[in-house]
Amino acid sequence: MRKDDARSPPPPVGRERSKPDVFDAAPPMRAPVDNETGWLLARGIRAIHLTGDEAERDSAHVIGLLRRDPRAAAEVVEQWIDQSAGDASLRWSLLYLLSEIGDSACRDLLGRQALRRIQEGATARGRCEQESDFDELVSVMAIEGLGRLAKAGDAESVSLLTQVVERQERRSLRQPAVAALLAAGVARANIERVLPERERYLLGLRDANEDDLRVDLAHPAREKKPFRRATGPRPPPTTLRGSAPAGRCCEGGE
Amino acid sequence: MATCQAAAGDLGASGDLLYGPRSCPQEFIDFVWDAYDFDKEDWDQGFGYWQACDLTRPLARTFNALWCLEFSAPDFENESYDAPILNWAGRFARENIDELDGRCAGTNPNAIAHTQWGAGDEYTELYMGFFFGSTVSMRASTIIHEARHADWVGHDEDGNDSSWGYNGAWRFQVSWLAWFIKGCQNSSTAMKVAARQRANAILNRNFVEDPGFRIGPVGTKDRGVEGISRDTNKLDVFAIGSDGGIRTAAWEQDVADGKWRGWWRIKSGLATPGAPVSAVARTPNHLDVFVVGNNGGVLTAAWAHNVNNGKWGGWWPIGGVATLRGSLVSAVSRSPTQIDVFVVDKNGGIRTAAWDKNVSDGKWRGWWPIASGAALPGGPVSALSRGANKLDVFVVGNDQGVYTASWDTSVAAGAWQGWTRIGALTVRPGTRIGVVARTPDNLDVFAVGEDGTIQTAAWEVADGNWRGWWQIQSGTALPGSAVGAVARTPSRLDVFVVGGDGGVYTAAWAANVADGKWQGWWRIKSLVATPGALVSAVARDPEKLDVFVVGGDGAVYTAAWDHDVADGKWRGWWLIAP
Repeated sequence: MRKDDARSPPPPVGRERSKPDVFDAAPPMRAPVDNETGWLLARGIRAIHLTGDEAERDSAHVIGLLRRDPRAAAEVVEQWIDQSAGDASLRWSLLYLLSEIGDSACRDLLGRQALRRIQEGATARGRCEQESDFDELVSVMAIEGLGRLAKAGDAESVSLLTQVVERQERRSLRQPAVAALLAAGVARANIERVLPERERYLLGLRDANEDDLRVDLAHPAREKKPFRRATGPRPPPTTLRGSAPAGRCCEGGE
Repeated sequence: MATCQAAAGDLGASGDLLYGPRSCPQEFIDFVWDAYDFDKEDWDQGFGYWQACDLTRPLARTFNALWCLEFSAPDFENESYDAPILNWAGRFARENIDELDGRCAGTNPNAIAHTQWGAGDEYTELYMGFFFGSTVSMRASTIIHEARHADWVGHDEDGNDSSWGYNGAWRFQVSWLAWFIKGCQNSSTAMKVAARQRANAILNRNFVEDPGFRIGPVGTKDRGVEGISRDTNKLDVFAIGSDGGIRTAAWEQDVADGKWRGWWRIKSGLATPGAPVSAVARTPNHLDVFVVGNNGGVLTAAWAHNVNNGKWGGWWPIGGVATLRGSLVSAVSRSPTQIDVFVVDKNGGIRTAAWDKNVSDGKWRGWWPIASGAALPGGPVSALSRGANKLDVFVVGNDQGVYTASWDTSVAAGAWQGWTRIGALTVRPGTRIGVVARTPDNLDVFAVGEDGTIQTAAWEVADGNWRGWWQIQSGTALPGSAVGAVARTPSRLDVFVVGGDGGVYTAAWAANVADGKWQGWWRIKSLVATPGALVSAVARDPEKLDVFVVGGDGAVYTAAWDHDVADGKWRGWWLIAP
C-alpha cells in the first residue's frame, strides 16, 4: 500500500478479464446552500448520519427549526432533488428530513417522489444489484414519509399511498405503501380493493424474527470449492488518524 | 482499459464522513489490503491507491464498506459461524473473496459488482455504482452478497433466489442488513432506516417465493421505556439509546424546578438499541435495573442513594442463562431485600433467578425452569408479586394462549404451580401481557387479542378461578401490542395502549363508577407513537398518573394526570430531553 510496495505480482498470462481502468474524480457535487433553510437542511443531513448524543441532539434541534416553516423546507428540498439526480443518498436524506418534519406542507412533494417512475434496469433479469436499486429507495423513503402523515390522520396522504399501490409497477414500492396504509389504520378491505389478487398476501406479512435471520453456511455448491483463504489476525478498530503515511493521502499521485 | 469519471455526492449522506476516519488508519488498511487481496494495479490510476483516505475516490469508499463489514457487531471479536452473520461477515468475505478489484463498469453497464467464481481465475470486481451510488452499509452488504458467490453459490432463478431456504447470496445480504439494523451500535439511525428499506426491497424483488416476512422498524428503539416511582415525588425512567447505551433520567418535584434531568448513561453497559429495560425500586433509595446484554446474557446494575456517592454500580452478569438479544428481563421486588427476575431463554424455556440479600452472601441464584413451560424464545414474561411470599407470572404459550404460573412459599412446598391457561383468548406469540394486583387477593390481566380487540381477565382468591376474557369497550390495537396497566387503588384500574393510528389511548375502571363498567377509550392528547409500543404507567399516588412512551421520532415523552390539576385533564406530552 506504499509507494515502494512490491507485494502485487503481475497478472498471470492468459487471464481473461478486463484490464485495470482509469478513474478521473470529478469535482464533488455540492448542494446549493443559499438561504437559511438550505443551511439547516445541510446541517440536518450531516447530523442524521453521525452517531452519538451530540449528533442526536443536533438532529432533533435542526428538525425542530425546520418545522417552523415546513413549506420552505419542502420548496428547498424539491430544488435540491431536481439538481441531484446523480446523488441518490442525498435525495434520500432530504426526504428523510421531510418525513421527520411530519407536516402536511411536505405531502405533495413526498407524493410526487413516491409516484415517480423509476428508470428500468433494476428489474432486469439475470443480474444482481443494479445502480437503480438505490434510486428506488428514494421513492420508498417518500412512501414512508407519507405513511407518517397518514398515521397522524392526513387523509390526502392515505389517498396518495393508495395511488402508489394502484399505479406503481414495482412490488418493491407497492409493498411499503401497503404497510403504511395498514399502519395508518386503513381497513384491509379498502387496501384489498386496489391490490392485485396475487399480492393480497402482502396484507399478512409478519416481521422477521431472529430465527428467520440465522444464516447457515451449508449449501451443496460450496462443497465444490477446493480451498478457502486463511487470513491473519484482525487488528482492533481504532480512530487514530496519525498512523497513515502521508504519501497515501496528500502527496504523490499519478 | 476504460476511463471513467464520477463525482462523489454528499459525503455525509452516503455515510462516508462517519466511516472515513475509522477506515483510514494504516493498520486497518494494511490488514484489509492483504486479507481481501487487493492489488496495486487494480486500484491506482485514479482509483485511490495514492489517496487511500480521499473519500471522493473508489478505494477509500471501499475501505469504509470493509470497516463496516468487519466492525459492526458489538462483540466483533467473536467471529464464530455460530454467531449472527453480523459477527462473521468479514471473516466469511476474507475467506472466500479472492481478489477485490476496482473497475469502471462490467459487461452489464448497470451492475454495481460482479464475482467470477468456479474453476479458473476468481475475482470480485466493484464498479462505479458501488462506489458512488450507495451508502456505506449498503456497500458492505454488497460485499457479503458477492462473498457468497465467491463461496461458489450462485443464484438459481435467473439472478434471483428461488426461496429463502435456498440460502443464497440474497439471503446473506438481507440477513446482514437486518442484523446491522438490530445490532450495530456505531452507525446512525438514518443509515439503519436505509438498510431496512434496502433489505425489504430485496425481499420484495429477489425471491421467487416470497419469504412471508419483512424487516421491521429500526431496532426496537420505538418500544422500550420503563418508568418507575420511588416515592410520591420522584420518577425515574430508563431506556436504551440508539448507541446501545443504557440511560436514565429523573424527575423530582422539588429539584431543578420540577424539570426532568438526564439522560445519564448507566456505566458503560451495552444492550440492543431500544430494547426493554426493567427497573425495580426495592426502597425509595435503591434502584436495580436489568437488561439482556449483547451476548444474550442477563446484566444488572444498581444504584443506592448512600452507596458509592450515589453512583451507579455494575454491570454484573446474572450468569447461567442465554436468551436472545433485545429480550425483556422482567423483575419483581417482593421485599426490600429480595428481587426475582424472569426470562424466556433462547430455547423457549421460562426461567427465573433470585437475589436475597440474606441468602448465599447476597449472590444471585438460579436460573431455574418454571415448571415445564415454553414460549417464544426471548419472548416477554410478565411478573408481579402479591405479597412477600407470592409470585405470579404470565406468558403467551406457543399455542397463542395466555398462561400463568404461581409460586407461594406456603403452597406445594414452595414449588412453582402451573401452567394454567387463562380462558380461550388467542394472542400473538411474543405479546407482553399487562398485569396488575390491585390487592393481594386480586389479579387483573390485559392483552390484545389476535383480532385486535383489547381484552381483560380477572382472578380472585375467593373462587380461585380465572374469569373472562372481556373486551374493554370497543377499543382495538394492532395484534401483538402491549397493554400498560396500573392500579391506583384497590378499586381503580387504568390501562393504556398505543392504537393502530399511533395515538396513546386510555381506559379506566372503578368499582363504584358506571356500575363497575369500563369507561373509555380516550386519546391522551395528540402524540403519535409507534403502534404496538408499550406505554409505561405509574401511579405515584391514588390521584396521579404518569405515563411514558417513545414517540414516533424516537424520543421519550411523558404525560401526566392529576385529579386536582387542570380539571382532571391529561397534560403533556412533554419531551424528556434530549
